[in-house]
Amino acid sequence: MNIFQGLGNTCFKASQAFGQWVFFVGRALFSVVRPPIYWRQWGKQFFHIAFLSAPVVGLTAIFTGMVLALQSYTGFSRFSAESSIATVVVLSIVRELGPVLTGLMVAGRVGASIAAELGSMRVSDQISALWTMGVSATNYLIVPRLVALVVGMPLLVLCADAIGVFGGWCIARFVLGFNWILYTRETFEFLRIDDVMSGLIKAAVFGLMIASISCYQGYYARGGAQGVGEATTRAVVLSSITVLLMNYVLTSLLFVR
Amino acid sequence: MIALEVKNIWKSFGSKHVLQGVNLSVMEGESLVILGGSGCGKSVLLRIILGMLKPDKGSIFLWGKDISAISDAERRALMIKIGMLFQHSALFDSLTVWENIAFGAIASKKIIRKEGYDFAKKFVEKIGLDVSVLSLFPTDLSGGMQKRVGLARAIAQQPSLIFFDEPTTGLDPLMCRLIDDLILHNVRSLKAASVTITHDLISAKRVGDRVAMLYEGRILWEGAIDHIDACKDPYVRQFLEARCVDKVL
Ligand SMILES: Nc1ncnc2c1ncn2[C@@H]1O[C@H](COP(=O)(O)OP(=O)(O)O)[C@@H](O)[C@H]1O
Ligand SMILES: [Mg+2]
Repeated sequence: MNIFQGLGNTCFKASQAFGQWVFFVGRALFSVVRPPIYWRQWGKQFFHIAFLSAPVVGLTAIFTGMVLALQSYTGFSRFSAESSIATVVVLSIVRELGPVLTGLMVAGRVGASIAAELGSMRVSDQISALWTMGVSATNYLIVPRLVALVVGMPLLVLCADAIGVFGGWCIARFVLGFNWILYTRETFEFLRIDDVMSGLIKAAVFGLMIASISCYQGYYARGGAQGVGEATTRAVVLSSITVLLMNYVLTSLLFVR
Repeated sequence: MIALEVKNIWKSFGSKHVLQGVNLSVMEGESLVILGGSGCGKSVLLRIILGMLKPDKGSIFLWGKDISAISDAERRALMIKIGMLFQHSALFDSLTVWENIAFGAIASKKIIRKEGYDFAKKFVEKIGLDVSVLSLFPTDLSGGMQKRVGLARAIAQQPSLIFFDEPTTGLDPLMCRLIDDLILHNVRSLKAASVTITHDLISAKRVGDRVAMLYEGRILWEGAIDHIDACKDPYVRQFLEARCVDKVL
């Protein structure tokens, strides 16, 4: 097989998978409002996906906020612009770093677990077993994970925003010796509700992407343990890249008007 | 009345022609055994019958309904009348044994979750297991016990048609015997029809009324189980006498 044939084949397979994924997402979104709704699963997945991701997201956010305050101090003190540090920290976190870093952490933590769990259910015939019991795998497995991520991501990002800004505040107050009342006032002075909202919109979109990609990879996994491993890798890599890609697309849509 | 009718089913994967015109029918209350070597397409045929795979050609009728032409809701309603024991049990490993057994009944709202444990208890007795297994997870059970729980799950909704995919493969002879007896007993007491897929002739003779031999994508021979010993077909004879197929040697 020559290189062009190989390239052609790969492109063909990729576009076929993309089509299948679009169909998969469409069916899942349609099923969110179509009974039966498995509330227990919704709750369980929300707990595992959103609630249990909070520590990892919180840690990422606090260190990012701290580093951001230190780095902008280094830079800004060179031209005596220390009073902008608070603004820089809060805007970078709320608009960019909060959603993106949360997205990447969740893509790793949750994307992998979704793909591995659904993948092993697929290869051990548990998904077929659902079918033979008249239970729709979309309603029972996919929708709860999708909802948990689309609802959970904005909540996680809100936490990340608050914790990240708090991390910066701590550095400003305890390490850099800023007046904390002034710093707090500067933090909120230029922050607008749009900044927060745009971050939350991004978060919801990232949630949708991570859920749909990871569920898709797991649901269509084939080929035993090895296949599940490959599906898991693909889920994490593709969701992370998609988070970064969508971040660019959404930033250009939301801010550049 | 005919419970299941398989009409001229064809299925290929790429250049591999797995099924090439399979015809079968199963009457209500009848027990059919499908015999065939490993990899001859038995599981594929089951998947097609259950609507999980689309055949290239042909159609499947369940109680007279063409399953390619029904809605999702109708299909789910049909599935409740069907039980299935998978080759590797396919128990839900995130759920306990009792949740597995009561799964279908809870999902179809026949019972509520609170009643699930007592519901499952009735069925572990039918498969000869102790109630202490009810709160274990499937991964804590041996292969034979998993098969029995799988059987309990398959019969829990009182289906009128039950499929068994290689129920005794990979078990020791005593456990085979036990599983066969449990299948026979439970299918009879439900008055259900059953389709058992196997490559184990002894097991086939225990549970079957009628046998169909699947070979090279077709039903090579079909008849009452008592007549198979008198069958003259060379491949069937080879299978009966457990000789290797000439082509391989
Ligand atoms: N999804 C699939 N894609 C490609 N080939 C398949 C698929 N499913 C089954 N096959 C092939 O079909 C043949 C029959 O498989 P199967 O029905 O599982 O055999 P068995 O009779 O042992 O149950 C095998 O050779 C298998 O490789
Ligand atoms: Mg098989």
